[in-house]
Amino acid sequence: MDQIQVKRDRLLRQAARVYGLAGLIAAFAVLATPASWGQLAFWTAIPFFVMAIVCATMLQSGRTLRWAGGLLACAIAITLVITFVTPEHSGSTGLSLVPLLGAAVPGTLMALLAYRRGWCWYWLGCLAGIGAGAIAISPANRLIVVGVLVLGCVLAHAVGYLLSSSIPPALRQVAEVGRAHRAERQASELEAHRRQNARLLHDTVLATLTLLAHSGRGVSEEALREQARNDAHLLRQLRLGEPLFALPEAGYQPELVEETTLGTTLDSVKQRFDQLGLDVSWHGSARLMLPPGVLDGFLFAISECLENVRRHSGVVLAHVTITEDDRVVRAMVTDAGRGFEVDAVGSERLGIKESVVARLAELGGSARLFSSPGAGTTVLLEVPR
Amino acid sequence: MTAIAERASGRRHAAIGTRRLWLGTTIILAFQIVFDFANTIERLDVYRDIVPVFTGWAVLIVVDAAIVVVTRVLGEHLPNWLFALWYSALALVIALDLTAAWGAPNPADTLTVGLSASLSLVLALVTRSTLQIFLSAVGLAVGTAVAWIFMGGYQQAVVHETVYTLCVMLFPVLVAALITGSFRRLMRRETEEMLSHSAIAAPRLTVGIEASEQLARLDLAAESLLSAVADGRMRLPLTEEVARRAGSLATELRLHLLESRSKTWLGLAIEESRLLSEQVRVEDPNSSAGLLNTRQRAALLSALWLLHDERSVSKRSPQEQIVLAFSSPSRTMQTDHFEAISIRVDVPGSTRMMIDPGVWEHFARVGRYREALDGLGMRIDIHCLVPAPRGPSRGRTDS
Repeated sequence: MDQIQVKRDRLLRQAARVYGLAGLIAAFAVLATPASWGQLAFWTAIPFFVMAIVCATMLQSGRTLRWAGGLLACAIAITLVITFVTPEHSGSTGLSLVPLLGAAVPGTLMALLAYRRGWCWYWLGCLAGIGAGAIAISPANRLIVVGVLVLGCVLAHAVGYLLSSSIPPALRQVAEVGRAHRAERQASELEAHRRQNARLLHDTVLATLTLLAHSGRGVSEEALREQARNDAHLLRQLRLGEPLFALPEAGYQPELVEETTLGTTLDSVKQRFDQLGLDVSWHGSARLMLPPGVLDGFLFAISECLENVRRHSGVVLAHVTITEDDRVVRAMVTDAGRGFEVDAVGSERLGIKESVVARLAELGGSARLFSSPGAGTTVLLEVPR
Repeated sequence: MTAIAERASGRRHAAIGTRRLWLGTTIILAFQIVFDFANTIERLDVYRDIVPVFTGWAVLIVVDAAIVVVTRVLGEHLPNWLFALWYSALALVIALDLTAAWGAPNPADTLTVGLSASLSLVLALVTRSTLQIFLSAVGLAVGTAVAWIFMGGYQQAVVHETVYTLCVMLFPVLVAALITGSFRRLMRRETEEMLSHSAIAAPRLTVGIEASEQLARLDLAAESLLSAVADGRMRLPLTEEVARRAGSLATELRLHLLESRSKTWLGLAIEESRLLSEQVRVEDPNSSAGLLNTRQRAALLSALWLLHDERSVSKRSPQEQIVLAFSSPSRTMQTDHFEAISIRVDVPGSTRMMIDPGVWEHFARVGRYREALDGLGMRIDIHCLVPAPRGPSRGRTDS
């Protein structure tokens, strides 16, 4: 069965159940009034009511023909019981009861309308019900009651048609909403990519914010202002979707291997550390051939190492040596500072572990740290190309 | 469902497909009104006074027409005050009908315009919830019943007709409201499934619409703070309060950059759907779900929706969630290009009979599966092959 058919079937079965049960409950309420309460007919009809309610409830489980047929049989049985068991009461009660059963029966048979040729079965069932109603009613009222029953069948058919024909346009509308949402999600995914890939930018922003969080102590006011201006400018460009200075992620294209002139990109890192009072000296390759995301992470790792040198080494000069072969790109960040015992620095110093190691591992690279007290520190960074 | 998905679905959710239903019910109501009017004409001699009845008809036709026009013009919307006004008008119409028949030997038999007034409530099907319609209809029926008790409608000879008329007043509205409710539920489920399917095109790890917007907000906050510092609008050294703000902004930004790209399409699809998140839980510490290709993802999601349907029909307690546990990818013996993932699906409280056959078709599309019945329910183990991730590439896994 195709999707529309499945939904149509499910909806019509639910509707038929509600419709049928409502008719049965109403019929039972009429039967339970003083005119017939406690009569033989009343007690005889009760088991049929119970069976009919079970049939209507079970419609949900499938096997529509069986349960709808069962309900039809019960309804006919109830009508005949009222007519033949206590004929003296059947007149007025029957006049109220039959139309209600006449609503329950087509209401339940409505579930058949979901199927091809279901309407044949539907009208066959309806005819049987109308026939039983006609037998039960005295000749004086027969014409009117049969008319009402036919109207009830037409009504239920109309409701069934309305429901099943409402489904395809509604599903088309749902699909349209889905398409709009998919477009929205793709746009947001791209935007998130762009922002997240602008990590070098975020790293400098983070560094500046951290300085500001310490009220800008330890840095010259002018330098800090200058740095804030640069960062604000970059964030603005990011927001407006303009290309960022030398950041390769500006035109985000995942498979592109971009060639970046080392000078421009590394210069911005050098410039930043200059302002913070650390002199950086570059050695090695002047060009880096890396995919944008990798280049970005690599540069981030380098600047994170330089930040550590600035904070902890006690010297104002650091060397960065970049080498590459056909498999990996390496950067060695060296200082001649005070150094430290590698094992003594536990994992609680999240700095390097979280930022550098995690970032490089994400790129398939690695970071190694060599240091001992008094002998400076060397960090070896590697990323695959 | 997150606020974003809610917005996406809620925007048109109320109206999806219900316009047609509403038009249909309006036409059916029109027929009912003609039928009841014919009944009024037939019973003219029974009424003590016919002026109230015809006044009632005039009022009913005017207010119903007004409501149809307003609902149509406002695009399936009806303000509360207008609904209240209309409801009072309907009550007035019933009161007029009851006045006209006051003292009649069988008051229930003469209710004609009152019947149409009660059934008119179906005009509010698209603009009011099922419960509101239900309560409104019950209110009208109870009011009428109380009036009849004072008129002697409880006398043994006519009481079944009273009950009959009350049922006819109440049940059609109730049935229409419940059916519209099922229709809405069906469409809501369809919408959620459709929205959740939009997640399958995501890369291995993704951020979700909301996280992306949050990052944009943080960036904007940082930008305005930094430019304030640069312009000298904020003096250095900063006040303690601003410094604290800068610190917390840095922390949030850092956390965001570290953590946000950690959701798989599956986590996102389930989190964004309220229906699905009630019933499904995912255990996927290695984000293996992200390795599945688009076909496998679509099939897995469809299977979950079918399982969801079965459970929402049988009304299970929310504790008995379906649990999906993903293993970490492992090497296979045969090939270097593929890795193996096993997915264990626990469906507590279900038997094979209860599960839609479509579920197995979908699981077969995800991978080789084996199902078993354990003490708590069904347990399905799916063994699937995914392309091995190559190096640092984190692009889409679909080829």
